[in-house]
Amino acid sequence: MIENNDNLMSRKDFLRKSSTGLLAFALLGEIPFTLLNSKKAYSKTSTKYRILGRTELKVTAVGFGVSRTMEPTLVKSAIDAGINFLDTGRIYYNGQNEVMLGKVIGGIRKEVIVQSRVIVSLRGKDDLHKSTGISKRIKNMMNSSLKESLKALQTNYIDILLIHGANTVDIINHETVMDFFRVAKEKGQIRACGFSSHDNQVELLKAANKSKFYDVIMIPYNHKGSYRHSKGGHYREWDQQALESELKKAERNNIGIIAMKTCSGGPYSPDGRSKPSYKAALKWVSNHSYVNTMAVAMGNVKEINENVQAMF
Amino acid sequence: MKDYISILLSLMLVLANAMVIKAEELKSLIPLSSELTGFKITQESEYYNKENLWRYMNGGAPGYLAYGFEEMVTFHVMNLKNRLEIVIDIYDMGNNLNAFGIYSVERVSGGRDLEFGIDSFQYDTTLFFWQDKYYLKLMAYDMTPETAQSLSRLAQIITQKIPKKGKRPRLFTVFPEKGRLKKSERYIKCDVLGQEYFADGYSVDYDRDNNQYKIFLIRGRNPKETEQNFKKYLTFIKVVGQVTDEHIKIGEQAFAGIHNYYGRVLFARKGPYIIGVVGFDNQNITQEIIALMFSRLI
Repeated sequence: MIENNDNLMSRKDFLRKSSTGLLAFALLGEIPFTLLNSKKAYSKTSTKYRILGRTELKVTAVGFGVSRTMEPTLVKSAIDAGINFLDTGRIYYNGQNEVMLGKVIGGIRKEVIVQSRVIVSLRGKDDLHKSTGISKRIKNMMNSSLKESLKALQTNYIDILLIHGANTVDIINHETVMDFFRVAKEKGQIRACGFSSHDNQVELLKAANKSKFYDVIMIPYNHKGSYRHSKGGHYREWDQQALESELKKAERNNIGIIAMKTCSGGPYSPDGRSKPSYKAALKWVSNHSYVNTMAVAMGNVKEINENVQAMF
Repeated sequence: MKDYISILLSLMLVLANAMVIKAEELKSLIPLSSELTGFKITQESEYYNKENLWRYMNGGAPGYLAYGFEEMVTFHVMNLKNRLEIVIDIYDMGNNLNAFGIYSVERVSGGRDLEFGIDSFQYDTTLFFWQDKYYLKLMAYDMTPETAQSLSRLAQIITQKIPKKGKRPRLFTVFPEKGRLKKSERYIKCDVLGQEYFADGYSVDYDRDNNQYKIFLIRGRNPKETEQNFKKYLTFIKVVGQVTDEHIKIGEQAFAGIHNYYGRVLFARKGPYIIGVVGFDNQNITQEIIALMFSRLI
């Protein structure tokens, strides 16, 4: 699953060999290391790419959860730092997060892998299967959402489109939902489909492993087996063993896995003695072969600087 | 020890009481049946606070929390004539500035401007508006010939129930008028320009003589901290781009440079304020703009 496009270069080697090396050494005390990436100093020489399951898409181990920012320069900094996987969604800032991202990727569309998400909202409607009206509503909702996403992102295709926050097997196995994805793929509007889930992820993974319909799944996964959201403060936990068992099956089924909430389990110390860090927490996740990439939400350059180091 | 426990219990009681009053204040904005001529509420209202907002909007919640979200209520209304369903969300963002902030980042270009609250627009089947500390969204399930009228009628009813009108953020009056793009004002609460040390930012888009550019105004907590943050940003530009002139005489310190995304930039600081013009090639005009804005800040 891991593909090394180029020779790996250590941070020290890079600093010594790169044209900005001396400057970097001089400034390292004051300036975060990866700011130097912004001049594309080494992204092309040491970036590791991974193949995202059966999609054949090449993604960096650390991806950018763009949802936390509306600042285009931050996306630019992440791309310049070597990150090529960008995750957004219709829900973020009323679709304006996609608009912002679209402005940044305009001239470099083929260099990045864009994932967006569509809400399948049933607000107040309980039974997915009883009403034909609901099927029509789902179809309209998904078609309209995809159309808006393509327009906002200024592109004619989205690499990966996910159902946003699926929480029941009913939704992911709904015939209308599956039909929508089949048609969107045939039309070339999307290259891969999947779902994200914050709840009930073991059951959903089981269902996806059974149906083998979805190319990509995005789920919370970290060293702690739980997360407390940094902004909301809400707490969630899962059965890590059961989850990992399903993730291994997903790997065998060639389903691409994107981890989220990777830092929300807190910093990690690999040996229990060294100072816990978020870089180590990200490394812990990415060291599992069934995880292809991570959508790491970042709100400022400092966070990019810290997290991008987990790619090397 | 007993005294401490009773003080603690009393404080908890006061806090719980305050929370109940706050929730009631928000719920009081839900129209009564007698106020909803031609409509009826079809589902019990749902109430969310900081701790459980994610249950309602999942990954969208952090953006709202970053803008100071306090609580929200959502309820369903049906137009009795054509059975059109409308979901109404009312967000209490804590204050006027935060409400404008979240409204400003969610504003869609191409929306139809309306006159509810301080500012409003309709895009597709949703009507957005903000008034005082509240941000509201009225979302119809379908687009019918009566959708716009239904949304407007409901917005009218709710806007009258909000006790205060509120006002536009004062600092936007400092920005120049020439070339200013209508409704492009935005309030950025944190991580302005992607920097963790910049908060409380205001931006406006411009189009002047075929130049599209943006002006940022950042209000620091005090002049000393602003000076330190300005230096950090100068160093950042040196690393990601290029600083072309560090000896510009505007404010207390200024520099011109080339940003890796925005292109030409000019930033200046004075007291607790930083002003930046990004994406405009003419340095003389940029200097005039910043000088004008500093003069208006006094």
